[in-house]
Amino acid sequence: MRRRPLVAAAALGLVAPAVARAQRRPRILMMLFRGWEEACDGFRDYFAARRLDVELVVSNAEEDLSRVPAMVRQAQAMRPDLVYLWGTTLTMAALGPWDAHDPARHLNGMPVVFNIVTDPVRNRVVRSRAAPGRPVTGTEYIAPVAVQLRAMESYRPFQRAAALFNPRERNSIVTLEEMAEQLATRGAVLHSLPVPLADGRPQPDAIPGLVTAAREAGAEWLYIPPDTFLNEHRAVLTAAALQEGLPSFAASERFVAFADGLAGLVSRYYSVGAFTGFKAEQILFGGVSPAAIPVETLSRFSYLVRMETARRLRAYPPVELLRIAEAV
Amino acid sequence: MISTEHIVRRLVRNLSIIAALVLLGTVVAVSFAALGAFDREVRPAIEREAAVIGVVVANPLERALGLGIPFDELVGTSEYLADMAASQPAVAYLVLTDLAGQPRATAGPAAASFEPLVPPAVLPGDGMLRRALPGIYETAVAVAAPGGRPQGWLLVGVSRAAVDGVIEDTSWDLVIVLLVAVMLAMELLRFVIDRTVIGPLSMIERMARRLSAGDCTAQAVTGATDEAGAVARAVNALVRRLGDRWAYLEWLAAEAASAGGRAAREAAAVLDGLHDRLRFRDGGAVPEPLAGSASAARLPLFLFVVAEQLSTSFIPLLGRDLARGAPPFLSPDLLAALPISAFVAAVALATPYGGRLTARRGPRGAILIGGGLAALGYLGAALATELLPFAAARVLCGIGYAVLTIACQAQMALAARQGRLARSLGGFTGAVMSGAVCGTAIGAVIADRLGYAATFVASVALVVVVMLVALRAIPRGLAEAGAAAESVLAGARAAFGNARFTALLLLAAVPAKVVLAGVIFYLAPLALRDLGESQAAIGRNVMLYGLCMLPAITLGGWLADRVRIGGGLIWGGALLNGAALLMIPILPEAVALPIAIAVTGAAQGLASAPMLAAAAATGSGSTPLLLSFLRLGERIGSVIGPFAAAWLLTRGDTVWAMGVLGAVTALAGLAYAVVQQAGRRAAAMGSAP
Repeated sequence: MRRRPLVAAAALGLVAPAVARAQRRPRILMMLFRGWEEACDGFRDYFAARRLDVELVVSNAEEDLSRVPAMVRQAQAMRPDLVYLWGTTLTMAALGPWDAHDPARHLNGMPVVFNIVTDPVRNRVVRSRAAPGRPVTGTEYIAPVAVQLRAMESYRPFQRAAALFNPRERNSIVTLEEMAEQLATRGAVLHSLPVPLADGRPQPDAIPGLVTAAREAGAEWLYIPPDTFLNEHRAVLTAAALQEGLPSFAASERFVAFADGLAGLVSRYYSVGAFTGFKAEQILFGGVSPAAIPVETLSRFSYLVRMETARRLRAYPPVELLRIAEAV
Repeated sequence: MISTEHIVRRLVRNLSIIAALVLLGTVVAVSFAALGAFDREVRPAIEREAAVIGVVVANPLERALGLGIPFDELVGTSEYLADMAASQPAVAYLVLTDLAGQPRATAGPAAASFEPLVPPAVLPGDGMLRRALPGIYETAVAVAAPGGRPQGWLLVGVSRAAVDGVIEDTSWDLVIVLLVAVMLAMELLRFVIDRTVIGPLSMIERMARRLSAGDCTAQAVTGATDEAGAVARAVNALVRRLGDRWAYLEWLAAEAASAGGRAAREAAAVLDGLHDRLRFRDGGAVPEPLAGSASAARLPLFLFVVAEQLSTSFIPLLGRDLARGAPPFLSPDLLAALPISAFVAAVALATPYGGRLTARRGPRGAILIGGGLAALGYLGAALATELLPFAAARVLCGIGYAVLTIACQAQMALAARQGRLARSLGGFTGAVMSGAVCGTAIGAVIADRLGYAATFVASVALVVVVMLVALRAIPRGLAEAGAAAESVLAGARAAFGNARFTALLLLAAVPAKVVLAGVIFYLAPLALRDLGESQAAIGRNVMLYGLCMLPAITLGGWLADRVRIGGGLIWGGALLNGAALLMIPILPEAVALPIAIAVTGAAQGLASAPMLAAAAATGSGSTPLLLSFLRLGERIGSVIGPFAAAWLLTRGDTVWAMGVLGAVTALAGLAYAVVQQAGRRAAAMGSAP
């Protein structure tokens, strides 16, 4: 099912050469972690809609971090006009911390935009959102944790929530830490359940058992952090939650849109990709340094509710929520 | 002698009544038509609003049903309806029922008054049910999944109180506009009738009386081109012919005398007899001097008060706007009071000098000077962009106000015919009150539509009209002989040396204004607000004072002139006023307050004209000066009033404070009665042999 790496210049066949530029068209190296998906569509379509002629070159890690050094070397050799990084894990591996950058191992000497990244400040991709501190900028796609909490409570109030996560993914760990802190201030509890590792890799088989454990521990919600491993196994995860009668709330789109998750406050990947395209345009065509472009999130999120799951759980959303929610 | 004067007075009264009735009838008819239209237009609009609210509120419910959520399992409907009801102030309740009419969720301030709905078998075309419940319009919207069958009802109740409140407020506005229109028309009518009917008729009447008494020395003034002018010209021709004949006869007699003889002596005797009965002037008759009428000053005064009151409603706001540029250590609220205080102080200080100016220059001269000063003041106020120039402009306005009002009052006193002094002076208070009501109401409208500066320019224009009217309607002269030499200080010594005048001032005039400013303008609004009345309702209650005062002024003037009970009206009014205020602590406030305000207006109105007449009649000094001292005393009373009330409030509540002021008023009235009796006894003893 996964789309193959492709030289997307072909996809830009639609692009009319409206702007007769003396210089050659800019080349963007798209370094992906788990292949081409909606965020990449949004990024590509942004240039098409703006009739900006760019050349997209795609390279894919296929969820294997060990491939990253080779991809970095390839980028250094290619010297593209801009590097597009997809996902928190890949971005951290390719860029290194902003305050401990190693030119031998990390991308250097070229502007970078990142996409689908969780908390780039806590993960030390940039120094701050307003001033990245390096020629790197990008977009976030996760709603602030406090906003997600309010969204869960507006569906149904709770005292105990549980969350599975891949202990190898910083993005999940950072999000769950913040959520636990915020819940503690409200007198509520987050039960964090790491997926066991074997040979350094998380074990998908453990997922149903962990969900049962969460249920037995009295969880009222199963919170699903922005976790690449869980995303990969979203069908198993959300089916297990449904089986256990546990409502699930996701921080990213696919658990609800393409699985059995009950609800989620999410950025549409496609829109985040287009927003990242806007930042890339500022760098390539506006002459702005990435260091001067703030890291931002979309100002609007979609509240997704999967009605079939709600029906099977008999956990219907309140009428008030239906005024804003998007049913899928 | 009932004849002409009686007929003229009846004619004028009937004409005024007819005109007032026609005007009132028209305005009432138009108002009712407008109200009817309002009722027809607004209530359906409110019902449409209820339907729109219903559709909007039902939308998420219908969406939920459309998403497959069973009606019985809708979640969070109570919270949702409560949210919706809170965001729509007009909503009395929102109720969600099932098809059988059983409530599932309710919200809104009047949720308890909801009556179960029994849906009819056949629905109206738009799928909505409408009910008019006591105090509430209700629209019921069927709740159904898109394209599906109804599964429940959403009932939207809209309180009629909101609608009725709007209608009531609008009705009151219409009544106020009606009153202003009638008052304005009456003032103009009075002026026109006075100039075109009463003036010429009474002139002809005077001529007829003169001729019947054999006085052929004066000619009628023949300015008018109407019937009165034609009669005057005919009378003058008659007088001239008589004069010519007389001169011819005298010549004949002189010729005959030079011839001598008995016939000549007899002719001379006949001529002497004629000379006893007829009086001729050597060189022919001359036009009689114009006296002017007492009510000639009324229209200028009315228009001038309108001009001044145009800005009343916004001067505090404008003051605060202008005070913004002031240094930060001065509070804008405090500075905003500066123009108001400056105006009041200027009026109070300039009033005696206005009296003296009137005595020296005559009312017409004083009106022109006062009007000029006030016009400059309004122009300055229109142009002022800072607080100090604005306050200075208001000082000019205050001086102009003081001079012009006292000049008009003096004209009314001087031109009043014998036995009509109180009624004539009552016209002063009447014109001031009518002008204040009209000016304030219209000024607010002008300021709202055209802005502050334009309102002041309107005042300038009105003052120019005032000066033109005074030039035409008020004759030159009428200055008091001997008054010119009198200084303000000497006048004050003479006035306050007179026990009757001092008693009148301190026991009647000052207490009345203390009650007006302290109770009507200060304590009563506070008490009404504490009762939970709206600003508009408080304003209406305060207006009761003026409404009851106006007819009472006329009645008081008439009684004082006719029945000669002016003194009794003064102390009786004070007692009545005191009793009304003393009633407040006894009766329930909501009932007692409007009654007390109305009675205060009536009592003060009854005493107003007799008070002015008594002051003018004390005879210690010139009339304008006496009147100006009386008005100065009243101004001081107006200043004391709020302070006295505030001081009383530090020692008790509003009801108690009003009671105390009532008791003081009643006691002052009793004291005045005693002084007056003593004075009368002394006068009786003095005249006894």
